[in-house]
Amino acid sequence: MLALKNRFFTILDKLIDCIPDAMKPRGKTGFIFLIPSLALIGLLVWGVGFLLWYSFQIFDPLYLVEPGPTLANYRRLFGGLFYWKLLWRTTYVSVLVTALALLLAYPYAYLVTRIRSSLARKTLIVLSIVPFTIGVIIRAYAWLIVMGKGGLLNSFVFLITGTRIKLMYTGGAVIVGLLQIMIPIAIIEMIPAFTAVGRDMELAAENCGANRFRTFLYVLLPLSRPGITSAALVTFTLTFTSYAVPKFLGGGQFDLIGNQIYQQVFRTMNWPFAGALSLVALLVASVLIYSIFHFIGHGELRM
Amino acid sequence: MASLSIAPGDQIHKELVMKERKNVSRRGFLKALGGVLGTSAFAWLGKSPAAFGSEPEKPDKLTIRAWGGLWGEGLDEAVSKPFTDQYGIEIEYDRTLDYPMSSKLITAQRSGAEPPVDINWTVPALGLKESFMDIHEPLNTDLVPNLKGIVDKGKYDTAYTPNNEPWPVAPLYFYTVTLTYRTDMFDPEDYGEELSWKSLWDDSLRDQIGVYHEGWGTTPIFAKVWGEAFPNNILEASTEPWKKLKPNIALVGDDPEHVSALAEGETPIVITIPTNALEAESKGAPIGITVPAEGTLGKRDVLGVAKNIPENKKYWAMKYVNRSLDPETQTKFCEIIGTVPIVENAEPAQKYLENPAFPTSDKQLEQIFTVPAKVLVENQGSWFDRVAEIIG
Repeated sequence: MLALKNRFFTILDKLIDCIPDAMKPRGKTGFIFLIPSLALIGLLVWGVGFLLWYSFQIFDPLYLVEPGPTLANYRRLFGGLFYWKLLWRTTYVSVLVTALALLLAYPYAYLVTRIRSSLARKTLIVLSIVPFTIGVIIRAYAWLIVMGKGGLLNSFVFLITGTRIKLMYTGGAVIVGLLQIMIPIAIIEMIPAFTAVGRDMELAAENCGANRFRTFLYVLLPLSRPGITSAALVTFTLTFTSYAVPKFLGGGQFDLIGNQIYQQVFRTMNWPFAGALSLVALLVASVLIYSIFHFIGHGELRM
Repeated sequence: MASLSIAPGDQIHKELVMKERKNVSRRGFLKALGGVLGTSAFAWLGKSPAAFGSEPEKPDKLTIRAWGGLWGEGLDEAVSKPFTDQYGIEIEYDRTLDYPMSSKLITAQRSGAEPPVDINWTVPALGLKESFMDIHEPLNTDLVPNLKGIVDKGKYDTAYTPNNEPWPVAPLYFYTVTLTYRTDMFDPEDYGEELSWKSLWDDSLRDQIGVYHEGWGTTPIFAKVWGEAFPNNILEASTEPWKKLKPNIALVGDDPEHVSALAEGETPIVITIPTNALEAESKGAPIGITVPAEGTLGKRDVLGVAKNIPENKKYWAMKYVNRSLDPETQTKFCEIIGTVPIVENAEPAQKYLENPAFPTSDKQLEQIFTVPAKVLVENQGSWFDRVAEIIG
């Protein structure tokens, strides 16, 4: 493996030697590796530009897009209560799911890094990874067995109250379904942060007279902030853009912005309006992501 | 096989027209051109190559966008397998959903790329919209002679079709949007002698009803039942009924969710198409299907042959469409998927004859109404948006 690695860098050095001296970046060879990422970012920027262009075009039901420019798509978006409601719902669900996922994942991630038994630690890690091996749609459908009218939860409720309650196709079902997906992600994101905070830091705080709560508040929590930030970013972004879980567990009555964008692209085929909707969603998500960096971010992750 | 396309105005095109005018024998003319022009010339002339004594080269396979489940099984069993047996051309399926496939076809057409499928099996609004966008090759009775057998109610009103084409796409069968219910959870007789669509607004049905996403197939029914200006003002006429129905809606989904909701008993009543009822029944659920007294919407799914595919594929794709409209094929296909044949001499399945959800008699057909193609294509999007705003 090492030989292969050395060979790779030898070839790379030879390739760099081929670049004329005048063009060779002095001591900045590593920047070459940024090229693929920059190309990808460029592609994304181009995509956003394309959306922007589309959002000012005119929708035609027969021929899809007629040349603009028009502000009709933005007027429609901001003029009706429905899209405000949708943006608000998407935002509060994303914030709520992110907060709950962090809250529930935090002790688990902590336990993984502090448990002494190697077998128990590995088991906990495997348990948090297993859900990734099952598709989102299958996981969403599995909730039918638990929350359906004849499902496990309702059977229990029926035993106690004699009636069945509506659990599926509600906002609650969507939040539970999203949490199930986001918690493992948050755990995986937080484990490295706890690994970086040595157990001796906690012991030192306790030696100085701090009780467990103060140790948590003044040592563990601040030092694990990078993990919390990255978990918050990932879970928030994935929730904000989720499509399958609201579709299957919301039963079309608790759509998030992703569902509406899908509808505009594929069902109504109103691509100009889908462009406007996507851009506004991107803007709202960006503001909220900035807030995460600003309020939770630490060190390099602070904005 | 080399393929050469000829556009009107080309030198070769002009020569062909001149030769036609001089009444040159077709066979001699074909010999003179040899294999150079290939099948594109036949297609351009609108004649069946068979009529010239030869057929274009058979492709290894044709790709068809098709639904899965009972739908896909029916198409495979009744149309594709016999087609493969007869001509040796394999049929490959693309299971991309109808609406996303429409976007793919539009994108391919606009970028000049070859379309992802050769034949698109899709819902009427999309098939017609794609035709208006010049994505499908218009069909004619030379290449698809079985089109001649399509019953009057299955024909398009050319006043509403792109370029007044009689067959922009091929209608494949009739089906209706019906009220499907679990017989152990809902009894239509509780709502009067003849069930009305208006019964669905009854408070006793709170959280009991499933509908299609964005009210697909349902909005025109509500407009017809509640409105006075059908089909001109479907959007406004259907708004109030949707608002009133909202508390009773338990599920908004597509075919798989409807089947699952009925099979699991999650939703006792679903406004859906009969095929989903049959599929739920096949999973052991006790299912009833009915058409309320006011009648219901009739639809015709379609097959469209994509433009921008090689000429030989176009020819064999049309052969496939022709096969699908063969009376014997229609009888078998429609029995499997629970629809009504669209061609004369095809036999509707005996088990469906008495059920108004499978209209075959004149009396049953009187209960069925349709939305003109252009009204559907131009307005369906706004109906979808309105329903999503009310329910979502």
